[in-house]
Amino acid sequence: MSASVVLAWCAVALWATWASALSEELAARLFGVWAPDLGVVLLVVFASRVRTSCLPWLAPLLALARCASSIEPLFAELAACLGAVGALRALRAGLDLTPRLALACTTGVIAAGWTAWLAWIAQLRIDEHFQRAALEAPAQLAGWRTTLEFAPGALSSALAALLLAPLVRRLPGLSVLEGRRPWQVAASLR
Amino acid sequence: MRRSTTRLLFACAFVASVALSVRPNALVERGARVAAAPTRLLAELCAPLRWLRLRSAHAAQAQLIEREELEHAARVELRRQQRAAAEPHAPHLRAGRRFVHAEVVDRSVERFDALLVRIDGLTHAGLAPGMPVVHGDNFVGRLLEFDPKPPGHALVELVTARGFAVGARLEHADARGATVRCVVGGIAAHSLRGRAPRLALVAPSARELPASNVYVDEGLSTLAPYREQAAGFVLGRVEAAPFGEYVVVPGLDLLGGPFRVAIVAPDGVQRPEGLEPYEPLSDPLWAPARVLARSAGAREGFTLSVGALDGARRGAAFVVGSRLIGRVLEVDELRCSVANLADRGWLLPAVALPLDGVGGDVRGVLIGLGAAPDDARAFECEWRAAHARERADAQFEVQFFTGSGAPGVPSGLWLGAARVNNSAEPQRVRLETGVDLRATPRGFVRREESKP
Repeated sequence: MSASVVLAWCAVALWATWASALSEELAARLFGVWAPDLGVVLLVVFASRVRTSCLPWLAPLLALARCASSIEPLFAELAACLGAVGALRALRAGLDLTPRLALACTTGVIAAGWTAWLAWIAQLRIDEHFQRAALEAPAQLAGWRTTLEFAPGALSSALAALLLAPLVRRLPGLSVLEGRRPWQVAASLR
Repeated sequence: MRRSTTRLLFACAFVASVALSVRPNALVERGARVAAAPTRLLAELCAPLRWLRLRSAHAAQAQLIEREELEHAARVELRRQQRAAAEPHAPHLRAGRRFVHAEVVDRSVERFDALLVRIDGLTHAGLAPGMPVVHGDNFVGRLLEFDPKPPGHALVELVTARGFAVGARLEHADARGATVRCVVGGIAAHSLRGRAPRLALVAPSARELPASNVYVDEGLSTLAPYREQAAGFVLGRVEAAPFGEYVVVPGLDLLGGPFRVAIVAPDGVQRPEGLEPYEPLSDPLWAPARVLARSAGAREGFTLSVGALDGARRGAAFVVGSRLIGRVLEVDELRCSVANLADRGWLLPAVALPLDGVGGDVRGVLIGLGAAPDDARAFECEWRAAHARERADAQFEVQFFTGSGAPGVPSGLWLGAARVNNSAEPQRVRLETGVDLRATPRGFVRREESKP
């Protein structure tokens, strides 16, 4: 692995950490549940452009970056990253994800799934916690949250992808990891 | 590497991480803790974002410092009231006895019906196994054994334990005017279906028992040690059970509390006077921690600059002054994540102390329901009080503090102020903290006791 590739991966880690931390700040200060998940935006935009051989490394790196600023369990984040990267890898084989609208739609769906997955894991932990304490969970904590509650974050993430995709593509480091051939050529070779 | 191999490895990693998310494995998590150590470096890289919130952090810090004295005074008052409540109030129960205070710190891991207590002064000088343990006028159990590590700790066997038996007498005599005696101890089978446990009552000296109070009386067993010290303490009240049997409704909530007890020793016991209660906030088991990043929205918490190498462990308290900010959720070698009080689903034994001081403290359990939607300085909880207080007003203002028994969380830490109903029914309360907890820039994490 060349030095430029190592540097590129370091840059990706930095951008991912900042994107996740910025999302948390936006949620805390301005938007609340409407805060976009910039980590997911970054992942989708990166995953639509980078070389296929780079994709498997993107998932653990992003999981670590997200864990740096989030209190979610590491394995839950890793599973979400691997699942998202796997889904994007499969989508890339049949669809051109580089247009902004495609990116926005994909980001929205992945952000909703991601939040739902983390909420489900959190709910499992809460249920276990109450079971161990031999207590009944309050009604407000008993049920898994509805899909509608994930909608604001997913919508704002999709919007962020629509607006920020060109900026994200120009982030230093990405060009080194980018595929050298356009999607059409790469897809025809699969 | 061949593409098919990469795909297979990727699929295996995905399945394994899903499985480990759903069913965490301690061994794998230990390995992951080491692997995740670089996240500390990544978290440090969030510094530019921390600079964005310097103003709110300074404001929160100033407010916390301003309130520290008040919260500490409230903590001192709580401890004074708890000590007073642990000693019996009836003069005949005080005579000829000496009371040694102890704080409940945990339940025994091996024996569910045993409490681990920390004796005042951290010494068991003058105490011996078998001594009665009480809370107010109520009998709690007996001193079982001393725990050599850590020093000054002991196990108390509760009256609910399977093998526990204590001689007792009823307050009222039977139809012929004779004293009714019985043996009480262990949980009655009938109470398993209900939520509140009942004590088993066996070998009564009369067939029909009146509904009256039951007191400890081991006068018939001349070999019972400390029978004079135990005599007269309340066990509960007789209640008729199905199938013509009788059980005892305990006079004290033995599932959720008590948080502080008194060991009853003979008056002339050789024990130094004036031993101070242990103050965990003054011991060296605190690691200073900086907030590296904060989490908001679905989960509320922080990433802190201390990890397992600093002695942090899961469940440990993160405090500022004598106020609880949150508890450690996950620990890596170099950092940890903390869920603050605005997160959902946490559970803490707690004490509510009325602001007007009327009626004494109320023990119970506090459950986090999440941040208040309209105010960053408040969060919502469910309060499950163990009992209601004898007060004229239906609602009153209280201050909430942590109770005993949550590992890694010292008791008496300030949580917030709220208005509660005078009821033992679960109720939703809004806890006002007076400070935006999310803006907390630094604090202290409780370290594991084996890593001073």
